Amino acid sequence: MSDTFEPDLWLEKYGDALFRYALFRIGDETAAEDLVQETLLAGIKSLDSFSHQSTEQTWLTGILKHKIIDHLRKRAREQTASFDYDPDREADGHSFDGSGRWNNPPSEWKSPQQDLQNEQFWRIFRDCLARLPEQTANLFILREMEGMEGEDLCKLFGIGTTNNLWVMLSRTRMKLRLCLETHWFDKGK
Amino acid sequence: MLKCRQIAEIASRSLDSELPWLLRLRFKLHLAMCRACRTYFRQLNFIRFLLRRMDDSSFDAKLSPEARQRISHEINKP
Repeated sequence: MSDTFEPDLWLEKYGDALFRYALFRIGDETAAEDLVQETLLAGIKSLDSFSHQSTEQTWLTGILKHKIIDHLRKRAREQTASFDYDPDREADGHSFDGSGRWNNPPSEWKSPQQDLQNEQFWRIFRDCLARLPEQTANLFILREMEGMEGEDLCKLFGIGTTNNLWVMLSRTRMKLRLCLETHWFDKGK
Repeated sequence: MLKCRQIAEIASRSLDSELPWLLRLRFKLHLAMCRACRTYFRQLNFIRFLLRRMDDSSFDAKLSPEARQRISHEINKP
């Protein structure tokens, strides 16, 4: 098979899918392109070990997944200084009043299921993700898209206690929710 | 009585780990009485659902022609 193997055919068939997969997880286009390249190179190199028990795409995605986690680990190491846990409560934004009640209670979202077919909706969602601070976004995506568990995340990102992690994830979800509400669900109200 | 601010954090935490039973009880009790927190919790769940659906989403991202050319060049090196 190696004799007739055409690297460009892989690029043609799987390039975009791999790119999307990486882009959704790391948010950085240039880095996502590099990871696609590295993944294809690694795949070509170890073509002999491809067992055909899975599809080529699943196999390549598996390689990419490892590369993404490596990439995020490296980024986390580079950025520890700016990633200290910040205990102050300001990160809640102005969601609550002094006595802990909602300032602006979450509004009902109208038929959110319909929005799943809407590319514009996904664009807004991606933009909201892109607005999150890089490290918290990385953390959050690994938690939600890869289902990574708390202890593994703490190790990967050098977070002291799982309790700090829960707080970070909570603030991330809060920001993301507010962003979606502001830029999509409440638009035109 | 837990405040909405605390409940918001607990709602998120319940998506990441199992709550101790007493806390879970207080959480449920608060939700039963507080519409805003119920809505908040439902929306957090929806956001999780979105992230799990993102790979199949209709959001269309493609390699740029330049990137494609660069990658093609690299993977065809002997």
